[in-house]
Amino acid sequence: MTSQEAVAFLASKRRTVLLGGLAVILHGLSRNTKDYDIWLDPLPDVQSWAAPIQQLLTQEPSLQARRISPFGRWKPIIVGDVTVVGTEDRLIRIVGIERPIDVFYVPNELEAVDFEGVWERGVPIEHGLRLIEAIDLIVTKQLTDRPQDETDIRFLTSKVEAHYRERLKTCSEAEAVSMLGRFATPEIAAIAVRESKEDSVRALGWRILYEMRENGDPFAAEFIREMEREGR
Amino acid sequence: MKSYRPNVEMQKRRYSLRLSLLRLRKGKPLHGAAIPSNSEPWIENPRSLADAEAISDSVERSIKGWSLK
Repeated sequence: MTSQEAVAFLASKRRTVLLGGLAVILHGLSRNTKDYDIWLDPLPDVQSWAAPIQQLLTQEPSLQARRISPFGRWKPIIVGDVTVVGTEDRLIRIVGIERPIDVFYVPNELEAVDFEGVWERGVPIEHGLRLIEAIDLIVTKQLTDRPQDETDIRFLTSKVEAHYRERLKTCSEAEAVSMLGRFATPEIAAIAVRESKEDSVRALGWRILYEMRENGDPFAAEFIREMEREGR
Repeated sequence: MKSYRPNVEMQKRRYSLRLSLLRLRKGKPLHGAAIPSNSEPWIENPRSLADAEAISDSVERSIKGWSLK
């Protein structure tokens, strides 16, 4: 069995979202990664989450489950322990294939109840699998403090900013509130101030910039200085 | 639904790097227009798991091939 076949098997049994490095690649960044990261629907309970993993491990004896140790090593676990490890560690790893598969019960920065929204916003790829949306992917990476994640965040942020740049020029206040409530950078807030045709959207951009400056963001402080010089 | 705003510490690091580069140029603007991206993607518009794996493997081979021995 290949890694893709194993992922397809899990996705055929339960709603599954692709996260991590392979998701970043499908969003357009060329980089390498050693494993699959997938999120299996964690609701209504951990037993439902674990069932297809246990079925896969039982059907394919060449595959084994691992749990992460505090030193970053992976220790073997038995099929019956997938449920308890999923709850404690929030993921398990499947090995015995060319590319390990990390199956998340709850990914970083998310909660089980977030699955429904992440699934809805995801884009279908193949085998019933969905690609996590760019903003949700950024959220999963925002506090990990790994250099690769910083690169991923900068790439994904630019992609979202390009989309926002176009929308903010003409969108309504309600849409701007919804967009900027979900994702805002100093660059995007400055675009709202400089380019929106709506007074209310420009005011919203200012509010976000002031908040960011208050929190210590140096780019927000610089945009405010620049725009005050421009007499906005 | 979780929202995203940039991490302030990361923003400070980026800003500090930008100031350092500006100081290296002694505040002078760069001459001429920047050369546009001249890189070519491994696969244009990847859509499948196979595409993503192929890109990852190509990057991995490229890193190994170009790394200092």
